Amino acid sequence: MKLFYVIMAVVAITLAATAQQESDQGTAAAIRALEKEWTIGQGRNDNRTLNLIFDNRLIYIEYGRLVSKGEYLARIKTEPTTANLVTIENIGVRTFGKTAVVLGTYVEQSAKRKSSRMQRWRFVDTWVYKQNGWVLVAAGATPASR
Amino acid sequence: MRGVALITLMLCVLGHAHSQDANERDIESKLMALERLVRVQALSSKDLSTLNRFLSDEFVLVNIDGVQKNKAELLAYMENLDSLRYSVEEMIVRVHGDTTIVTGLFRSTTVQKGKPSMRQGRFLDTWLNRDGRWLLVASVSIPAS
Repeated sequence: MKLFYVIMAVVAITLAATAQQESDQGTAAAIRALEKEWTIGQGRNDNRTLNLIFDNRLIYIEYGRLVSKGEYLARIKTEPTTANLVTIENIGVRTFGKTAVVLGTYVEQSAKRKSSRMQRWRFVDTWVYKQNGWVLVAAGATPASR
Repeated sequence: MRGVALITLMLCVLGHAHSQDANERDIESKLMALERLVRVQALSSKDLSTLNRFLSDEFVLVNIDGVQKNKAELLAYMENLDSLRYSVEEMIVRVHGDTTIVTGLFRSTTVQKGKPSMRQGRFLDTWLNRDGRWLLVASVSIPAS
């Protein structure tokens, strides 16, 4: 009888661990999709999409400056779609229940200057799951050589 | 009777909102104190024990040069420094349940193998509350614009 309970406990733990792993993989996939949505939304001046995925109290460090959600959306609205082209090179998602931290690199091609300069950035983004889904609560990037 | 019920309900809602604000202010104060403890005190005095206690095992740092380090790599880097002076100012804290974001301005002076280096910029930290303990899980340092 004791052996039966031990086996049942092992099965329950294994099932719980598997469920957690699947949940984490699902979260990671959702966050990757949102990061992609951000890049595409920015490139298309899609303020509506960006408004939905950014938390109202977002802390965003853009080119070393602290920028609010409102300031960022206002800039995107008026900026030409070809001003900055962003290509995500690699991305890794770490999940902590209702929080996800994303690390990665992207290359930005700025058309503002005649030379069309390219710059690589290493970024850390934090997403939190709230009532209406995952929202970006913090984002910052620093120049990286590789 | 209906009026009494409505007033009671409003008082409950206001009370809950007030208590939530007070809770957030408590967390903001606590996180600012933790940032000073970890960034200013522990880094400046090379207190690896305190750093080890408040950095989560999954901690990841992107430093001002764009290099990624994990917890072990950061502690090893700290151990090899001759000295480090660190100051922070203008901290802003945003609480999102069990996740808190802190940003602020920093200035650091490191001496490594006799060579000094001064940097300044903005840091962006992600803290998680695990079983009542706040742990730092991610940090990025960004050069001043």
